[in-house]
Amino acid sequence: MSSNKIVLTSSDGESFEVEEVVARKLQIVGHMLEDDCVINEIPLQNVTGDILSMVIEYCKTHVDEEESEEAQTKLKTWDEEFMKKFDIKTLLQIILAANYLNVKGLLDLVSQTIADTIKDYTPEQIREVFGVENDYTEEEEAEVRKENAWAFDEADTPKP
Amino acid sequence: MGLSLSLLKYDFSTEKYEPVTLPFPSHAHCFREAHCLSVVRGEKLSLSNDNILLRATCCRFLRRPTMTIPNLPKDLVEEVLSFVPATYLKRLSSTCKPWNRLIHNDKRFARKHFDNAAKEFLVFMLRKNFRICRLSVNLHGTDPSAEVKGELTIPDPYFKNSADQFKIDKVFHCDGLLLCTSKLERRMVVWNPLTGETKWIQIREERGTFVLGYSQDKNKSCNKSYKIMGFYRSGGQVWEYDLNSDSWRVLDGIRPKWYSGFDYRCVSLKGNAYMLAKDVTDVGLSLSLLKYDFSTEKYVPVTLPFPSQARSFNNANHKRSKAEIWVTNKIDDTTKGAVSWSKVLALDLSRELQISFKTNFLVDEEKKVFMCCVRLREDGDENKSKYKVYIVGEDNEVKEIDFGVNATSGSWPTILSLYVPSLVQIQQAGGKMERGD
Repeated sequence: MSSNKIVLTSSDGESFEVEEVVARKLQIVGHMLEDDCVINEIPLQNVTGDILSMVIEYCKTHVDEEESEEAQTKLKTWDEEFMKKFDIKTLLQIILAANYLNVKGLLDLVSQTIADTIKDYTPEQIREVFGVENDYTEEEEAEVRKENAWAFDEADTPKP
Repeated sequence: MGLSLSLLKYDFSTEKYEPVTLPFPSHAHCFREAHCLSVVRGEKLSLSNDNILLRATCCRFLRRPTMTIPNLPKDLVEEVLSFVPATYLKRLSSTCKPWNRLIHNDKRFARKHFDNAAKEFLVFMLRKNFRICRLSVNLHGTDPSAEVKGELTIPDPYFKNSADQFKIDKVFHCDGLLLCTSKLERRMVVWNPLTGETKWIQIREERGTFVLGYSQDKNKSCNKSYKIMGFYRSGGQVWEYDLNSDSWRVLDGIRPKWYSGFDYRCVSLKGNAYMLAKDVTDVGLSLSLLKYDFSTEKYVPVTLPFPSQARSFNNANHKRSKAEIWVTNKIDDTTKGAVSWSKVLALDLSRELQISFKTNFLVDEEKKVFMCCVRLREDGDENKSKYKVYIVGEDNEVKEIDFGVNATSGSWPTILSLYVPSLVQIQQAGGKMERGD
């Protein structure tokens, strides 16, 4: 693999020098490099330095994804630990970044982590986190909640 | 009152400070963090002064409240929700109307959810009052237990009064959809209990055996066509109903000749139906496991791990009832010609606890326990029998579970081993409006 270095610059002017193989994990960068291979500095407008550094940390760890079961388990454990560091607000910023930078693995990982976090939230909490407006009338909301009643007590569900 | 920001010009000729107007509001409730000013963040703007450019930097988030969370675009919200397990997601339908629509009425999302979300496993049971209830089962720990949770009600357009009901006689599960039949009616229903969607289907006779499955285009993994295959008590024809076109047709070939048309034990796996059947042969009875493949519309025999020939399967003279439980996770792997099974439990039970041909059960391979619904004979009298749910462990310890409703007659209680709730939509004839594809 080429050990060519690429500089990624965040929207707030923070620069990160990374190996080309790492930068290519960001598909947005991958496409730019295909168009013109002489670029070595890439400005990334929609992501701030603190979030970009997390994305780069993920990409560095996932740079050579080995097929072996042992390596996969190790990566999975790393992913779990990595995600534990973030609160919901940061997770939402990371998902936006992963989507913009087009890092498929990270997008799935963060989606899964957010889903795990919000699954026990009350609708009120959900509305706050996602900035969703409650467009039900009180009666409608009571009705919808009643319809969904059988799903409420899931703590005892046997897991595979 | 808050904080105020100003830009000052120091003129070395006049030795004076002069304020310069800023292009953004200089008063704020809070400037969030002091170091914002030292960090270059946000947009650049220039103020022209005697042809020299002066650059001032405005921190964009100066006036942002600290708790602001970025709003996700719709497609990312869907992405996240597609990872939320089905029963939790259902609870989230009360967030807002668009979410409710997404969860209950969006085929594309339902498919995405099916692929992404972790599968949940629930245990349903058909009780003797012809209704389905949920069992809360805990087979772990030293004291395995099971408890009846709420009953599910099918939305039925024919019975407005909830006291009346469609008397479910048999249930078949596939992909979170339940196919319910009643021996009293010439109709059956495909029902998704999670979304509440139903589709009622007319049948020719009251009694029949029907299974639900799907055929799948190998190249398009998302495109499942749900179908029902079945036959009536009389006649050797095999019928197939296509939920896409709402039509019945007779399949080529005839149904396998089976001894007792009413005793079929059927389960669904990966869209195919597996049926256990008895047949009468010259030497006695023969047991066979058949797979019905909805894509090829053919029956394929599957090897069983135990002898399939016997003089009789019901020998009441035996003092003990020996049962063995075998499992396989390679039922589709026919490369070696035969399916490989492994034995997880061998039980030695009292004769009263006989596990009959009709019993189906839930087994925890790891914990070596299983739960079943059995018919308990009182004093060996065939007519005096009770139905009970038992949890049986490796040590042959038997624990009885009180499962409510103790009707003397009714449908054979059935444990629907592992119901996997999903948002899967039932194809309605004419095709619903679909989004995206």
